[in-house]
Amino acid sequence: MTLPIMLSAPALIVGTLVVSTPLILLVIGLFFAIMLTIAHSKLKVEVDPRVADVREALPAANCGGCGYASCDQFAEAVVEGDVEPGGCVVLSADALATVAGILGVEASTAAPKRAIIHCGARSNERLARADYRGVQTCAEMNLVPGVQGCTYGCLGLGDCVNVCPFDAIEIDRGLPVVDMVACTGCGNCAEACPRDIITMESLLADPLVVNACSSRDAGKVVRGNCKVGCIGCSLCSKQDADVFVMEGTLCRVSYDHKAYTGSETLAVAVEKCPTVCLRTVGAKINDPHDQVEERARLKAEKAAKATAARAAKESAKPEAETS
Amino acid sequence: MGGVANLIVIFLSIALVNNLVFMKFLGICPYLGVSKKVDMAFGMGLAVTFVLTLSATMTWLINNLILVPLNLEFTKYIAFILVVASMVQLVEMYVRKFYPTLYQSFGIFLPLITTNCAILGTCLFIDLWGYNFIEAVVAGFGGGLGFTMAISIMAGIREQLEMAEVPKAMQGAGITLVTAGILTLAFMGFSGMVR
Repeated sequence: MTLPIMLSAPALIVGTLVVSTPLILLVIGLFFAIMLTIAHSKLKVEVDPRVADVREALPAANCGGCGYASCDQFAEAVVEGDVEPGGCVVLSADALATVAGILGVEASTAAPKRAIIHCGARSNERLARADYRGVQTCAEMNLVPGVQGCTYGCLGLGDCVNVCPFDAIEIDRGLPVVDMVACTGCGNCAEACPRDIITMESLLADPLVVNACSSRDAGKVVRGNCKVGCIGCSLCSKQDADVFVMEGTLCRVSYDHKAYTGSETLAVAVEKCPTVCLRTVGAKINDPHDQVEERARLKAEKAAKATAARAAKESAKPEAETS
Repeated sequence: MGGVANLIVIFLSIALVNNLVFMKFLGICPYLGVSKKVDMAFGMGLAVTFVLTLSATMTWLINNLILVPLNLEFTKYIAFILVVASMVQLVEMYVRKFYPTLYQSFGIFLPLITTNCAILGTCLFIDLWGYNFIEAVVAGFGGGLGFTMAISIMAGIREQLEMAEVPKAMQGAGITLVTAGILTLAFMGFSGMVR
């Protein structure tokens, strides 16, 4: 008889502990839950639910490209209407539409910004006056006068490549080439370039017509310094003066939305450009510089055809005389 | 020992001599994580002080009024963490409501106070040292102020370090840990003055 009683005493203690422990903890937890609920109702912060939704649609890279410290702050500013959703430079078209949908506004037609290189001469096309052997950065090289004939053009040491966080630029034979797909328009390269030949422009169309030259020298000087520089012939401006604006001896392509998208003579102007400094860039164009070779090939073909025609004509003449 | 004098000794003991960061090596995560700017570090210190004082009070009450009489002291850790987590929630709501900028600069570190071992550690120490209620409140408050002092000193030094030329191999975490070590050594001077 004693055995079951001896066993049951500790069993009873264990039994009560098993029941009471969770029970007590549950009571404590419940107490805090009620306290927090009351505190929550008293201390509630009214947050616009759209902020969270917009935040969700943003890339969450916190890159700072928009000028705000974080995507959170940008989302708040967007909801409050301080900034356009397009202010986020890395926002994809789909995400932009989502954000616009949340805000109940029409997605702004602001095209994404892309880095445009306003120099189109590879190192063999621009005049080198001296052999530069200093520190291998554009910023240093730019301080040394007279190394390169053109004082406006690219130096080709790739400061822009080094600052690009997206690996969207590479140097090909002394000239940076922008990958228009990888580029997000953050503007780091434009800031790094000591000669300011990179600008961030809206990619209004793909392909986009650009003037790959920054030289403000007179046409004759440009001709001496560079094979593909803008000589200020204004042939393009004669096609459409609203898009191709002549600033002295340099043509500036205006990316004004109305003027650019409304123009019908862009292709003609590009074709007429005698030095091929007017080029097209875009997602499908690996290297805009190919257009220089393409033009040279077309020219050679045309010349060959002309000579062939002339030769055929001349050989046909004596035949006609003999018959 | 007289009542007030005893409280002053306890306060100085936990704030300086047994400083949570320097002597107990508790709360190192925010100590290194949020000590880049003095104002942010100070705000973090105050948040920890607030949470710590409240938690020390609540855990003393729960431990001595509920757990000890019911022989449930082995659930101490669970119950204490419950208290700390609730207090942090409370502080988070409060800061978010009244100090939005501070809330944004804290970011993830505010909820992380929950797992800040300085708070659970102090609550357990208070139990271990057998403090009464008033002593527990003072110890919680003193521990929080000690933490605030430690993190603010650290932030001040790190702000100056920004302008110093640090060898490349030592930059970042390296120089921060060395700084923390030297600071601890300096505070070792207090050791043994009060138990």
